[in-house]
Amino acid sequence: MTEKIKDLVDHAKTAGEDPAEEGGVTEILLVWAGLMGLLILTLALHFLPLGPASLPIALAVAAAKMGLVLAFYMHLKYRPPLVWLFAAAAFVWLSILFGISLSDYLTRHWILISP
Amino acid sequence: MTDTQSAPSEIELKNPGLASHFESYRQQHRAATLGMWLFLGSELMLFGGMFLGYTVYRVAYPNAFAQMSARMHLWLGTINTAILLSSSATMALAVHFARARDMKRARNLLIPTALFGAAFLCVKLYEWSLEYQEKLVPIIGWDFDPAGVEAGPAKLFMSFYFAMTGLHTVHLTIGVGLLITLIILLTRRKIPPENPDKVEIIGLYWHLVDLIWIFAYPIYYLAS
Repeated sequence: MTEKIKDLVDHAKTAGEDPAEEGGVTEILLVWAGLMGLLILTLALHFLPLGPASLPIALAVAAAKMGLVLAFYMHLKYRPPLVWLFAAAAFVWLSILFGISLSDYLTRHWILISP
Repeated sequence: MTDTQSAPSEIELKNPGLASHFESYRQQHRAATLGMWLFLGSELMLFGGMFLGYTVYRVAYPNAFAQMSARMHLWLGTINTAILLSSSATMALAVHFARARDMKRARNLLIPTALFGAAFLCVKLYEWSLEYQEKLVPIIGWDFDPAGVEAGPAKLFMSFYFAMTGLHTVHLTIGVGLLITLIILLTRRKIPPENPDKVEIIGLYWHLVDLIWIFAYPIYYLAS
């Protein structure tokens, strides 16, 4: 048991620091190709008659691009969980901001029907 | 209290670029990374407020916003997105080479990154000049002609557009300035291969500028 804990601690001490473990040139270029592909996809989807779903779909593709940049270019994939926490914290705050604000604005025109 | 500058100690000579309050490069790198992410978080909050403002008014005036979005210059926006995505790729390559201690290649890849940034600025300024000619700039005293769209919401859309792309452009210009500084530092070999953190940190900032544009692009250009 103590061996396992020791291994975990050692791994945590050295995790996310070795440049050789991070993505190489090939990975960076593959991610670039993926990003450009997503750009072409979002542009193509723009020309389809998707109605009111077009903006959420475009934002979903944008979120996929964001995921690629965050994980590979900003090296989150190769960093210890504490860095993930710092990165996630901003998005958690944004979700609170959007969640509570939109709970007001999206329900402005709801009519309460008394039982 | 006098500031006494003594000769570099043995530790400092053996560990160039290691600040005195750190035990190791690893510790310094971790601190730098966490500190930068904290700053990036604050930047996300800054732009997050603007995104929320846009969202609220889009919920209030969906038709007017969709119509105004159709009047945006889609191809210029798309070209700009491609430019920034490519600049992120060259920046990631520069950071990769800097971390691999190949400072010369890192410098050589920062140059196209800065050029991509400058190209984005040129396209953006050209696009703004087009919008000025089309009388879509909502400044008091200037002609505003939304051509068939309700004037109030049209002004709101354009206000958010100029505020957000304007603030983004300011961030991008600062980023280009930082890149030029890095290029000069690397050319003068002021960044030791043992500690390439500066390149990585500025890379994180540059990727954030890209991320903001990745979300600004669909809400203005693809929202019809």
